Amino acid sequence: MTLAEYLRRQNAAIVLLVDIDYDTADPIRLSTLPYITEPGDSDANVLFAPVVAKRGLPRLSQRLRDVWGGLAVASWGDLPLVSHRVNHNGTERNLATESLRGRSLRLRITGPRSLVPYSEARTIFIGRIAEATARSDGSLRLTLEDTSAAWLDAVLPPARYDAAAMPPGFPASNDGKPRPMVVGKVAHARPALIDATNHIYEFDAYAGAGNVTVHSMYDNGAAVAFTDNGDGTVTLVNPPSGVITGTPEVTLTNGTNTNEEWQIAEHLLTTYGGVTTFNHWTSGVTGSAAYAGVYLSERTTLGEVVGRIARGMFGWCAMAPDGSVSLQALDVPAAGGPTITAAQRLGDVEWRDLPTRYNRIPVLYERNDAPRDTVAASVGLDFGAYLQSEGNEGAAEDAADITTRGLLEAPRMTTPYLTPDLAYSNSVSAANRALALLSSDRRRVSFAVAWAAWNWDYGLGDSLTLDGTPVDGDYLITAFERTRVGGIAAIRIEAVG
Amino acid sequence: MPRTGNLIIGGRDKVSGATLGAGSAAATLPVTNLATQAPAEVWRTTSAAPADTYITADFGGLTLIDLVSLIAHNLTQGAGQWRIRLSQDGPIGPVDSPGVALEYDSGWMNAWPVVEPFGVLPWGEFRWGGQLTSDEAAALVISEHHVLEQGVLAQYLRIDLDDAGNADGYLQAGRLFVSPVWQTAVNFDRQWDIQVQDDSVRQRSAANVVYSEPMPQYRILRLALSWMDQGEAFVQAMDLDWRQGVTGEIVIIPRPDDTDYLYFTALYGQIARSQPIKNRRAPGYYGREYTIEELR
Repeated sequence: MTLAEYLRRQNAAIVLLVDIDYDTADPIRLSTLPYITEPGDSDANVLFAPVVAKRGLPRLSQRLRDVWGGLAVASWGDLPLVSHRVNHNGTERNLATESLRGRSLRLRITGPRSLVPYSEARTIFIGRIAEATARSDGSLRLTLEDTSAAWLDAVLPPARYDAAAMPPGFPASNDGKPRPMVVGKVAHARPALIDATNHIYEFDAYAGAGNVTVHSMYDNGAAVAFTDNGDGTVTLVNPPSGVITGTPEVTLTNGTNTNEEWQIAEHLLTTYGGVTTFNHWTSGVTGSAAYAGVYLSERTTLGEVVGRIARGMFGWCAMAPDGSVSLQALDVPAAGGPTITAAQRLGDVEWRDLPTRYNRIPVLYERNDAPRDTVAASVGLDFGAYLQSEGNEGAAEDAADITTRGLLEAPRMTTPYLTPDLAYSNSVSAANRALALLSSDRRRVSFAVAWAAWNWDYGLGDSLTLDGTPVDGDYLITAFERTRVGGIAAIRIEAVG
Repeated sequence: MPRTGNLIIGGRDKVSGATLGAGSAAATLPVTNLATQAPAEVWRTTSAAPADTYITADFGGLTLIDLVSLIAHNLTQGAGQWRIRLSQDGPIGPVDSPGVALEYDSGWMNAWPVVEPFGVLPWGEFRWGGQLTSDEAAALVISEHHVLEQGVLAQYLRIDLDDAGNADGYLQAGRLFVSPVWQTAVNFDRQWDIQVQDDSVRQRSAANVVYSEPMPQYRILRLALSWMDQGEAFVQAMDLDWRQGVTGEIVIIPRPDDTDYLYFTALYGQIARSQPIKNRRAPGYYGREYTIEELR
C-alpha cells in the first residue's frame, strides 16, 4: 500500500520518523510509534526508538505575510521527547550529554511498516536543531529550524578588494570595498575602477574568464569605445569624463544563460547559499534571452537579493518541507488543486472580506538602471531625464490595461519595487498579475483540515477549491500551519479567493 | 507440566544482568535488546535457519529460575517452536549435543498461545487450533510464558527457536524475561478486572466524519490480595515493591491453570501505582491492591 493510499484512511496511524544527523552514516533514529525496518529496506534492520512524545508532532507554520514581502515567513515548533536516553543500534545513547545544537535533522511521516513500505516515507522537514532543553524528569525538547538561516544571511558579494593584490593603478579609496558581481544581464551598471592609470573597470570578479561579456559602455550616458577583457573587466579606449556605466552579462560556467529570475536565484542560492535543491514555478513569467539580471556592488545578503528578485516578479521564496528552496510567482486563484469538503474540515470556516485599501496598492516597476546626476551633452533629453530619474518608475503606469484599472489614483510609491527584468514587457506582466489579484474584491478564509484528509502534494502558493461552505470557490493558499484540533493532527489553511 | 494454582508474579528479572549471546543478530538489532524494557526494541536474527536462532544467557552464578517469558516474538503460528534448557556447568550447545549436564530441558514447545478455546466462537468464525491469524497477530503482542513446575538453580540458559520457514526470513523477539516467581499462598480476590486501554483520540469533521489517531493499545490488570500473612506481605509483596517500584517490570500470570485464556490475562508490564500494604481486620493478614499496566 502506498502512503497516499494509507493516509486516506480516517484512522491512519501516522508514524513520525526522526533522523538526527540524517546526512551522516550513523543517524540517530527516533519515532512516535514503534517502527523497525525490514532487512530489504534501504536502511536495513533499523530501530526507530519510539521516544517522541505521542502528540509531539512539531508545529510548522509558513505564511505569506505580505504579498510584497518576497520571502515567506516560516516558524517551527518543538519536538518533545519523553526520554533523552535512546536505543541506538543496541547501545544506549544519552542525548542529554551530547551537543545537539546545529545537528541536522529530518522528519518523515509514514504508516506502520507492516502496511506501508519504508520507501514510501515522506519527508516533511529538513533542517537542524536550533536548541535542546533537557529536564531532570528525563525528557528532552528539541527546537527545530529550517536551513534558511544558512542562506538568508550569506553575504554578497563575498569578496573584497585587496589593494596589495591589485594592479599598481588600483585606487586606494577602493581598498576593502566589495568586488562587484553580475548574474544575468544588467543595463547601465556602474563598475568598480581597478586601474586608474589604464582606465580598467571591473563588473564581475566571480564568473571566471569566458563567462562574462560586456555589451556596451557609457560615459555619462554616451556610448564609448572599450575593450572587453573577457574576465569581467573592460578597458576604456579614452580617459573617462563622467559616470561610467555599462551593460555586462554573465552566463553560467556551463554556458547556460541566466536569463530568468529563477535562474538567477538558483545560481545564487546554490553557489553562495549551500542550497542543494531549488524548485521554481513562475506562473508564465519567463524572460526573453538575457533579459534579467542583478548587479551587486554593495554589501548585502543573499536573502535580501533573493527577496528582491521574488518581489520583482511578484512572487515569494521559501524553504519547502523537503529542504529545497522554492521560488514561486503569485497569481490569481485558479481552479484546480485539492477540493476541500465538509467531510475533511475539522475547524469551522472563518472568512473576512479584505479592506479596500488592500486592493489599491500601486504597482510600480523599476528597471535595473543606475541613476546619475549628469548626462553627456550628446544624450537626448528624454533619455537623459530617464537616466537622472530613479529609473523607469512610471513606465508600467502607461500600459493601457493598468490604466483602466484605476492605478493612477496613486501613481507613485515611496519605495518602488525593483525588478531584475530588463524587459519592459516582463515588468508589465508581473504588474498585471499583481493587479489581477489585488484590484478586485478578495476574501480571506481560514479553516482546518484533518491531517489524514490533506493532500500532501499541495502547500503554500497552490490553488485549492472550497466546497460545501458559504464561501465556495477557488483560493490561493497563503498560510499553512500544522496544528491540532480536538487532539487530532490537522492542517490549518489560510487562503485568498 | 506447567505450574498450576494461584497467582504468579515474576519480579526479579535476571536477564538485564546476564551476559547474552545469540546464534546471530542484525548489527543494528543486537541480542542485548532482549534486556531492554520496551518490547518494541527487538533482537533480530540474520536468518531463520535454526543455527542462527538461539539465545544464550550466562547469569554469572547460580540463580533460581521459575519463569521464562519470550515477549513480542514473530514465530509462526503452528510451526514456530521454542525449547528451554538450563545448566549449572557451562554454556549449553545445540539440541543434539549440549556438551554439558542439563538441569532442565523443556522439550520443544509451541511458541504460539492458544487464544480461543474450541467452541467459544460459532462455526465459520472460530480460529482453527484456537490461534490467531497472522493479520490479527500483527496488531497484538505475541508472547509465550513458561513456568517451570519447580524452580531450577542454574547459571546457563539456552533457548532454541525453530521456525526455519518463517516468511519474514528472520526471527525476532522484544524481551526475554527470566525470573524466580512469587506464587501467592491465597489467590487474589474475586473482584478483579482487566481492560484494554485505548488512548486514541477522535474528532468529528464538519460533516460528522470521524477522524482518529490510533495509539497502540495496552492492557490494565487490577486485582487485590487480601490474605497475605506477615511473611508473604513483607518478604514477597514489599520486596517486589522495593525491587520494581513503578518503573521496573514484572510478568504476572493471574490464572496459571487456565491455559485456554492465559494469553488474555498474563501480561508483561509495570506496577502502575505505589499502594500500601494494609493490615486487614483479620489478625495477622495483610492486603495490597495492584494495578498492572502492560508494556509494549
